[in-house]
Amino acid sequence: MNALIQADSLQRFYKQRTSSLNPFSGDLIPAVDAVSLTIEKAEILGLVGESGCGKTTLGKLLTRIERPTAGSVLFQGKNIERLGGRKLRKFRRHIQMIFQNPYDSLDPRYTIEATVSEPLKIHYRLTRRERRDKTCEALSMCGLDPDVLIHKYPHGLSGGERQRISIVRAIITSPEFIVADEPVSMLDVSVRATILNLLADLRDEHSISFLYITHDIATARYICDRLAIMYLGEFVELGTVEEVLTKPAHPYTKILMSAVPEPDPDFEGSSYDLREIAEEDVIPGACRFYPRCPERIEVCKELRPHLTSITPEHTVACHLRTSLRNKP
Amino acid sequence: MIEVKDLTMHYKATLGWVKAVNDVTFSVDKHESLGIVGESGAGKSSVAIALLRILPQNGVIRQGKVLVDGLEVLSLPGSTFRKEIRWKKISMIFQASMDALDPVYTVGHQLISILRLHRNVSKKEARKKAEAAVGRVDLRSSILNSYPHELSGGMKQRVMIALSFLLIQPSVVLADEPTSALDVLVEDRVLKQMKKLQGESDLSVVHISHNVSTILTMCDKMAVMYAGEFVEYGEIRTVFRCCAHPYTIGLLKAVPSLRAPTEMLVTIPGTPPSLIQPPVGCTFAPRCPLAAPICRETTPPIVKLADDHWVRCHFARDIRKEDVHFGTL
Repeated sequence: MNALIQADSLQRFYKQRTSSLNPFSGDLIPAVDAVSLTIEKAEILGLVGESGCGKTTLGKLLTRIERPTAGSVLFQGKNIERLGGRKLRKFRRHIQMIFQNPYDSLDPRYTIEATVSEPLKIHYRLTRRERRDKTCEALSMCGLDPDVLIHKYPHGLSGGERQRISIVRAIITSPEFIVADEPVSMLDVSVRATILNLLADLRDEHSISFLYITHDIATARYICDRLAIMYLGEFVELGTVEEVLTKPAHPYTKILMSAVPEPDPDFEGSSYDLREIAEEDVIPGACRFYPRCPERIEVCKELRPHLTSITPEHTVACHLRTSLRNKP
Repeated sequence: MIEVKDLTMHYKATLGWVKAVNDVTFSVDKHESLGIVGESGAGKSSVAIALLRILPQNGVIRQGKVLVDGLEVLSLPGSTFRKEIRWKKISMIFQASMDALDPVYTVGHQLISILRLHRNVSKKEARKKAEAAVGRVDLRSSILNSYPHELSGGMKQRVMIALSFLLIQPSVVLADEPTSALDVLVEDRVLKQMKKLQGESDLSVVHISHNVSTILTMCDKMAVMYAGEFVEYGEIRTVFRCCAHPYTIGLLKAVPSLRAPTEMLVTIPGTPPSLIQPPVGCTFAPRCPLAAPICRETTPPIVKLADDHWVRCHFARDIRKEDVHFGTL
């Protein structure tokens, strides 16, 4: 099958601000380093990691909001780096984003209709009537009543409704790919399921692919097809949800999983005591996770592991798994 | 220990009174912890604000009693409350507590001056106590010489935990979303530390959170709050296994889990009611899948299901978890 999105050794470095007060001025910080991934049509890829690990930067690279320092992104086989002018604008209608905070991402002075139909104005030549029809259609597709909502303003809506409005705004240009950056973390538990189920429906019925960015493995489990675990700009584990969660191979994945509180008063999770990372701990050439890893061995300090398949559907960047596998 | 009886607190707004806390009753013994869960806007934080008497100008405590170690504190004059109760008896830790550290003083300076304000100790002794307190939350005593900007969010929140749990040795700690601003791994660590301290000291802890999983792992008792009222209250395992309020049932089914089978998560349809004009009868009736005519007419009574378990629902005795079905969209 042809991949919808194909990223090859993506890199994005940020330069520290030059300032006489900043001892690191001019240093390069790898926000995303050598990340390769593919996203198929109608697939949700979950991207999980701590804050600051580069999740959002990766999302921005795939939508060409940011441009990579090195590496390439292919969308339907075309390199998006080379697009410009009209072609770039045409590309943009195929990819959209949904943001974390529905209280900040909707303009308070726009009615719902104005907010939702704005992308249509930019990307398509339609009459006012056609725009309204499309807006209503998209609203009902997301389980919202257009007649009630169309003239309202964001302040009259609840958090769950607002987030659904931002989803409507994202799907109105009939995109093939949506980057959803923490779409449920600001919402109450009682309405999270609505949003998650809506994303799953859009995948199943309209074949939209998603990059679902989150720090919460537990919600990712419910809608994602595959999971990528990211640590300091790199993928450390990638595989189907089933594989990654039942047979986590990377120590970091296990730690992330053990940190999720289980809704059961009698559940005793295994506990790891993870060190906080300090500047002096970063050893060039070593595995990025070495300073904090509870299972580290000598070789981890000298050689950075690369993503290696342990089953056809599961890759991991850890010497422990790969060397154990090679033993007779 | 702390006992709260019929606490009612309202805010004045342009459109009328916002009935944020209504007839809230609970008690937390020494060594015990109570978790209050609910959606945003349910009135959780208003409970904390009322207990500490840090109401905004438009807030009024309508009725209620708060007994700390047997002493009624709501009727005390403001200055006595400030000197004798707040921090000395009831300390607090909030979501933004870590930002409450003053950036121009060292952590140590701040801890020591707060301690000396409330307890009559010499500077030397205060320093020793501060060192011991930060040591118990696994921080090196050298951080007393650091400024807040040199510490990470998790470290600052641990300093605040040392301050509220240990330093002044209060009877009650109010923790209002203490870890919501922290990252997953840091949150896990801070919560484990809080749990350890809860077990070691003879504090009563009131833990407020929107995260049901956190409350279930941290507390001995739990209260489910909806539209300003406690709708279910009881020992944590009893509530978890035999919850009888449809709202609690929905809430527990809406929580994602890493280990339970992936049935589709539940959505509770609708939105919480306006607290200015709450619905007549049961406040949850407009969203309840089991609502009958009686629910929209009369306020449900408190039904005692066990010694330490009660529910505010007309049908509390007949409801079983399996029979309550919310939409999954």
